[in-house]
Amino acid sequence: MNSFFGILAMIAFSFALTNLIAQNKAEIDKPAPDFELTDVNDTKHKLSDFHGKFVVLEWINFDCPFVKKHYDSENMQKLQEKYTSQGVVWLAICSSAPGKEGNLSKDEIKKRAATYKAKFTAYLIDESGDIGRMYSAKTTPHMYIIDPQGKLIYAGAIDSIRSTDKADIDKAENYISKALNEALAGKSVSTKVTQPYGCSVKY
Amino acid sequence: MFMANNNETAEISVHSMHHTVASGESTWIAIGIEPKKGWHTYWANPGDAGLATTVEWNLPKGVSITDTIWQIPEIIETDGIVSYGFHGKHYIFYKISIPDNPEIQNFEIPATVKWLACKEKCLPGKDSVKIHLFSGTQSEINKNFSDIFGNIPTRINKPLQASIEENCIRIKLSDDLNLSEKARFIPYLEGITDNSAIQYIQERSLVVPLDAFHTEIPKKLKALILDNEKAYEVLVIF
Repeated sequence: MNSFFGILAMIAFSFALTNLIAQNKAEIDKPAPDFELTDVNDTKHKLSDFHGKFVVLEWINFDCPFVKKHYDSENMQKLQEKYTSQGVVWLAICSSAPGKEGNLSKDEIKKRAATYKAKFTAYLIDESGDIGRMYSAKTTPHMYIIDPQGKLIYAGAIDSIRSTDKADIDKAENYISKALNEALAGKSVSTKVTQPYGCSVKY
Repeated sequence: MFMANNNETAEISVHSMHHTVASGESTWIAIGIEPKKGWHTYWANPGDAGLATTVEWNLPKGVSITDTIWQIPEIIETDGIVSYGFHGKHYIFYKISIPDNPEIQNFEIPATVKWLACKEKCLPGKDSVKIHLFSGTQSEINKNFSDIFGNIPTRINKPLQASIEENCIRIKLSDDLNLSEKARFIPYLEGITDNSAIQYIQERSLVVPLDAFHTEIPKKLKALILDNEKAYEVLVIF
């Protein structure tokens, strides 16, 4: 009898917990949900560690042609360099599940990052996909910007031309530069939400 | 610098309803796309991820495209990511009008087809096609065109009224539109609705949750309603 109630209590608890996680979803202009992930050097990072700074979240998969468009062209690295040098924290997050495209070994990730001369602050591993789902990350790349007060101020595409063609980069409007330039100057972000484009996140 | 033709992942073909069109009249052109086995390409709204197939026309002076029809897509779901596309051979239909000038005898219309094909990974594709049309007495409909001009949603001419309430679109269903609980509303425009969320019918209205980060909703929204074997193309007005 006791075990029956015990099981019932556990079910009720896990239901409540699932609901809590489900409700803890990122929304524009609201506080960005906190999370903790481990990077390729086995260091843990919490989003809240960076309170007081602008944070960019970049959903990544090194094997996706859309990610390659921005890395082969050095578009992504230039953005990373420009804004990290202004105190922005840049977190690449990979939500590829084990065995799926983009889920590379830590050594392979470090190798790719070094070859690309990537300038992200950290590459975080989200194999379970929990954080990806928390942020409704659908594509790689999928970009988010969080302000120093912890508010989500941008979510969506990296730029305005939805293609895998490097030639489109210079013709496109870069939403990340635009939003960061505005926010760093103390202005409000004019384009807060765009539809992201890329390969699907491989949950 | 520019992407070279890459047709490894799909075979592209071109077909016309008539080979000879009367001056000032129109015909239909179909672009056929056949993804390689196991691969799929995308519909007008690719869904959560992917890229719609595009056709860039290099139209001669006076020639215009006046309508586009997509065939009915599949709903492709993988690990919570929902997309709309095609695994099999499919066609995109374009209504093409030629100028009212009997002096022009023939038209050569080049087009570039670009697509994204995905299996577990994704690869972009590109191919060039050319259509030849003659001007003169309108010819008979090409038989093979009649065979392919199908699998198209039924167009509902009367627009449907809708409102936005609490992160959902609420669409008033007209009396002649009888949908089951399985009905699925999919805009032709991406980024508006939540592709994985449950939709339901409440008091003769279809309730469709918006995407968590939806983009601006236009005043008029063209959409597909899939309901078991039926498919409708509707225009929703807010």
